[in-house]
Amino acid sequence: MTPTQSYQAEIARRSKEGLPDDEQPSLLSQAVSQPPTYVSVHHVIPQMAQATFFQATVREASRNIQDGINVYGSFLDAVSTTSASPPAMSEFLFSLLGPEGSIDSMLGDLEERFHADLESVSPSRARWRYRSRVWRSLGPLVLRKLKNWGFLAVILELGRRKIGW
Amino acid sequence: MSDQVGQLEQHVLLAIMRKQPTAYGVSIQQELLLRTGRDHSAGAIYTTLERLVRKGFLKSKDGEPTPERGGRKKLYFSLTASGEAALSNSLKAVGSLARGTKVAEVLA
Repeated sequence: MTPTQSYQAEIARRSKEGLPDDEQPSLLSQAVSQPPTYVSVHHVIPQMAQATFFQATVREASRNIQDGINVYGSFLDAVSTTSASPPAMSEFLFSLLGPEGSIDSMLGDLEERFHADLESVSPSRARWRYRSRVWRSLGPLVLRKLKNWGFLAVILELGRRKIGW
Repeated sequence: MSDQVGQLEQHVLLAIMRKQPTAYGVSIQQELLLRTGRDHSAGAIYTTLERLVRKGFLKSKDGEPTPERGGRKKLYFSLTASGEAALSNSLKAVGSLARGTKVAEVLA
């Protein structure tokens, strides 16, 4: 405790106990007469270094958190971009089986319906609908491919008519 | 190549006739859903369209690419003279079969 602090504590104590005011100047003179104490430089430097280190740590942590937020934001952007595009595997499957001359326009039609769906349902739901349309199209497309295989096609065509596909 | 048209072919020809000159895959599909209540798959529609083009009942031309189609072109379809004739014959045959029956008034 510094002399000034001990003086203030003494004043406070004596005021509480109701000591006469005339004693207070003597206490004051006693506090003033004492030589001032100096804080050692050797003591301050480690404290300053510690504070600087703490500040640097906080700044670094804050930068890391900001980087983390940026990375998470980029991740969310990437995810939202991916989910806003049609499922690549279904697209590929469709392009394998579609009629050669109209694959491009068929895929365009599917994508157009996908984007129309995005306005009314969630991206995952729109992707699910896209897959469902592709799966529903596989039957006629596979059958069309097999028709070029002769006798097997005749059997399949009979089967198709039987089940009304 | 047969000049007969099946039921789905007939429906597709009629849908194209209604949507001409902007009949393409999606609009044909939607017209069929609206008028017949049947949601045909894209595969079924395009297989039928391809067959009708091969028979010479339809002709196709490239449309404009749009961003919502991923930059892909539309393929517009329209009936040829032989397509219209085949459709008329097919509808006449249905009408002729229905005449004198309880369902005749449905076609009237």
